[in-house]
Amino acid sequence: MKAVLRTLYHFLSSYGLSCVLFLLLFVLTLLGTLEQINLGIFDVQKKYFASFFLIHELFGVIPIPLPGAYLVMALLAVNLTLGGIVRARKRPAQWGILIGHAGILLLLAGAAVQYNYSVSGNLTLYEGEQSNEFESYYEWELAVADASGRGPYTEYLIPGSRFMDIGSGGTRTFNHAALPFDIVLEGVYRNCIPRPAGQAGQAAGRRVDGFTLVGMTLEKQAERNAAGAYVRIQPKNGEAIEAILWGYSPFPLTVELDGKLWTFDLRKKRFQMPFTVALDTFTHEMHPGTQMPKKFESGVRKIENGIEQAVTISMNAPLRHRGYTLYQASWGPPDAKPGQRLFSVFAVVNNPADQWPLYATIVITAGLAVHFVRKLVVYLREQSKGGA
Amino acid sequence: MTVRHNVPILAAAAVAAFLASCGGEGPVAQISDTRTVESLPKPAAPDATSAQRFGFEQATARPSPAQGAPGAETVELPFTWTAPEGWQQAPERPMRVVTFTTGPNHEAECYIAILGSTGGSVAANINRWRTQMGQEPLTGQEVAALPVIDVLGQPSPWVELRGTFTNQAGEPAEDTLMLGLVCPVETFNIFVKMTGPADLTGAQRDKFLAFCKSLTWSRSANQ
Repeated sequence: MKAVLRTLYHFLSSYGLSCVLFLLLFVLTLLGTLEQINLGIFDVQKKYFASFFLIHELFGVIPIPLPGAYLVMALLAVNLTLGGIVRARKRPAQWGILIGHAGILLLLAGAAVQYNYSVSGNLTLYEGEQSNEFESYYEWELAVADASGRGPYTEYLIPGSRFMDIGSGGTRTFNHAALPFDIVLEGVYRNCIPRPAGQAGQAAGRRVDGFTLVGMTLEKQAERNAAGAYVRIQPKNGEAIEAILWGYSPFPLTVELDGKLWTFDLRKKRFQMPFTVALDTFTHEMHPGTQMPKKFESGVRKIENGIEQAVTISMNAPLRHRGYTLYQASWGPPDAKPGQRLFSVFAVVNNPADQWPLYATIVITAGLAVHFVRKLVVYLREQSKGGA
Repeated sequence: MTVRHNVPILAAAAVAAFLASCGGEGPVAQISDTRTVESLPKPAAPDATSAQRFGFEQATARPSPAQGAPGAETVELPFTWTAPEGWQQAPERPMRVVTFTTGPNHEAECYIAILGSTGGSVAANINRWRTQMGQEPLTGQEVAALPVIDVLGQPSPWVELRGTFTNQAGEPAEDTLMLGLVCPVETFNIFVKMTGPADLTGAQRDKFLAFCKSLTWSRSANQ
């Protein structure tokens, strides 16, 4: 057993493994970049960079199994820790290299934290509106709520990650002790559009209330995909209700059961912030004679525990608070007439490791500086000895 | 002992890691996430039909005391129109001033859109429509020879194209009729476009032209 562990240790800390891993990262980056001809950046990231394993189809025909960049970078972190720090010599001559390796490890750790724990999305506010929620660009969720009263409301949430894998032919039943019905998803589309059944040029499919879902090819810009699903609401006692859910519906599906009004909303995943943002004013300025924005900024109020603080968010001046960063992303309507009410769009990011790349860069720079300064000193000493 | 001797162990570990990453949920699953909110992001519309939920007809939402629907405000336009009988107004859609549908299942739709100078010339837009219908573009002379009707005091060319319509999603719809009109105004173009099954849309031709002619400058635009 000891021998096996020793072999494993030598393998994981070897230069050979480092070389293979760097080569794999190069290959994955190359293939992932080329694949963006066919897939959008979101799907490419998911397939090549956020996966453990993948099958790349060379020339669209020959399947080649490859490790995903997530696995490669995890192995690289292990390899660097064991080979670049644990196994490395700890002499003063190596200090710079050790510091540099520590910086690279911090960079890898930052990437892991960002991948696993960061959330991002956007918040759109018209002048005069406020919100403490933003919605994801890509992720979906099904929210079920009893909308009978005036609120507050309890939402029962099914993240898209738990049903997007069902596909157009699959079925999955979701239940909760507090809900008087089961939710049966019978076919889920990542991108689709509801169409009146029987339209010209439309293949025969399942019909619900005169409509059918028409699956579409995935958009290269994944945020444009419109998810949809056939759903069956199965009360504990009573007849099932069939319906279609579509992500871009202006209204949720509403079902009355036992005197209660239940809503079923397939929507982009929503995240709550620990504070509220109110948009008071939005101003924008174009370069003369063009449609290119010169300057646009939002006058907002950050509201937290009843305390309000006025903040201006502009293109290079985001609002950072409690781990959340709100960037000025865009605005509209694009063809707004003078005096028309405008809306402002903020890109919202909550990344616990957002400053880690900066810290890692500082550590790596320090490591390189230590190493090269030491080399320079040694060189100068040798020169002076030779001169003497 | 070398790495070579332990290849089977390393391979088994890799397979185990692969299998562990392939987990999925079974046919029945529990809802585990809940949250409490003061207001629901989309207003409940208890009586909304599928057609209303998917934007083919207008629905009335139950008033939400906490949140107004973004974009719900109306913008005063410089012109008005009269909708033909039998056309139903659909909810607002991006880039469109107004949308109507007609037919037993709302198969045909007609909308008005406005684009500024960046939206392309009259000829470019007519040729874009022809491309959507799988037809060859027209030359400038051919565009100039198109039939014209008077809309908002402007001679406005219109086209009638029959064929396979391919929408922005790349979906073909065979035997479709497209009626389209471009009204060039000083700083922008007004587009009126109707598409749908050929027989249904063909029967709406007179209504379409009447609808185009019904566009009238509003009083405030003339002041």
